Amino acid sequence: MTRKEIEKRCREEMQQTIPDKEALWERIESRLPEQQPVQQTAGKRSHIQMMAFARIAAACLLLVIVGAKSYQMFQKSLHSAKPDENQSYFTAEGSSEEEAAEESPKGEYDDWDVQYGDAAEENEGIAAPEASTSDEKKPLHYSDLAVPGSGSIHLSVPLKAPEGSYFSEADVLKQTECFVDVIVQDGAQEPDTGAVVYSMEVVDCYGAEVPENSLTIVSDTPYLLEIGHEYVLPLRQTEDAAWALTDACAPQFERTQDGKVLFQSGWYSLMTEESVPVLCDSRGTDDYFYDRMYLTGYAELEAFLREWERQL
Amino acid sequence: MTDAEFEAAVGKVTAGDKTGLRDLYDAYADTIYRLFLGKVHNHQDAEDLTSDFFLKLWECAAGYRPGRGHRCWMMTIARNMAIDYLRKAGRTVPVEDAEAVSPAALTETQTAADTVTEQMQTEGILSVLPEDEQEIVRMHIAAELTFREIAAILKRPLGTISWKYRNAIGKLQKLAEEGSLL
Repeated sequence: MTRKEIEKRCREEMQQTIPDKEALWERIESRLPEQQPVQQTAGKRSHIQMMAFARIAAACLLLVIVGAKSYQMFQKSLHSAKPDENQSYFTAEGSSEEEAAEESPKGEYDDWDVQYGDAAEENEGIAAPEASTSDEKKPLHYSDLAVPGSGSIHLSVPLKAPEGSYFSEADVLKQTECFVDVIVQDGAQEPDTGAVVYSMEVVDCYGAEVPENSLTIVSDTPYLLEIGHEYVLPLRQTEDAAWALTDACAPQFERTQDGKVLFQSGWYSLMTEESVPVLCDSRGTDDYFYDRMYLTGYAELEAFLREWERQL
Repeated sequence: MTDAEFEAAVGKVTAGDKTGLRDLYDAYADTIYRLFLGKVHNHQDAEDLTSDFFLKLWECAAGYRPGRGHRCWMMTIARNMAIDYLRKAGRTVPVEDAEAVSPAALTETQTAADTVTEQMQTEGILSVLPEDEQEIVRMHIAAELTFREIAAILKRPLGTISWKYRNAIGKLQKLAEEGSLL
């Protein structure tokens, strides 16, 4: 059997169709809501817009009335020989109740307050779903984080992530033998291979033990580790018993000095409602993560690593 | 269905027009059903999931961003639903367990060959492959997704996907040569 014949055989076998397609559609149709959610949103939006319009119109009307009254007062003051009369104008002394109500700016403001208050309350209720977007975490910038000053490694040859490489949490967890908490002591690019040789001080270990207190890792990750910064790195042992980054195509966990950890969104197990987005400066067109970074408590990462360790 | 046709149907759905969803259903119900069937191995569950899938599509159609490849988008939703379903049902099959039925190991003895034959009779020829290879073959053949699309959905390197696919077809070819393929 040729490869094509095998594929044909598979295709034939995968030709199962829904036994009763029409009945299934009827089932789906019966469960569709009468009113489509998008329409509801549109309805809400138009209601919100109408309320906003009404408020603007009321404000304009008020301005016109107040303006007209002010102008009238100004005219009166110009033509009046008795300034006291102007004073009594606002107190509505000697004028009818109707006139007082009509003329009193305070009364109009009272009405406006009531109207505005009601509208505000109503509007608050309507706008709640949209307002929820403002509850979303405001992004921080990397420069806002409690990390040591930058100690960038000079590159004479630019590094690029290997073509077609994707980060996969499951794969990394599967291939990783240990996660090490390290502080980068030094780093330099090898002129011949372009890879960077990092020297690190080991702070902590999860999974397999790294025998030494210091570690040397050679990596061509374009997401450079900064000298003096603290990272948690997933490592695996190579054939020649050296330690290497399990995944070099994405940024590593970076610890901050205030007990947080910066991670990229591919670590979906760490993504919670508490995760705060962090914008980093792009390292260039091949940087796929500068706007996919998040901050969480180090305790979250520690719990995650302990669980991983337990399942080893 | 082309991207343009899909976008037109999605436009109808977001406007609350059920005919848009019907268009999508007519075009993709069988493909989605097959993918679910491959995951849950049960016609009734696959039907239920297909029904839930189209209801979900009705709710989240507005989230579709044109130009991203509609099949990839739909298959990602379907796959996540299947995974959630299996998790809830406590039916996740570890890859290691699935690989225990590898043809290379099984065809060595007559008993093993019988097991393969029996398995193929009840579950089809793909059942002799590990779960991840089955999924890739189904996505490529039944859902007509490209390797690049599959790589994006499964979040695996493109090379891994194409290698696993070739490997899967190669295993089936080997079984056929040995006369073990029904």
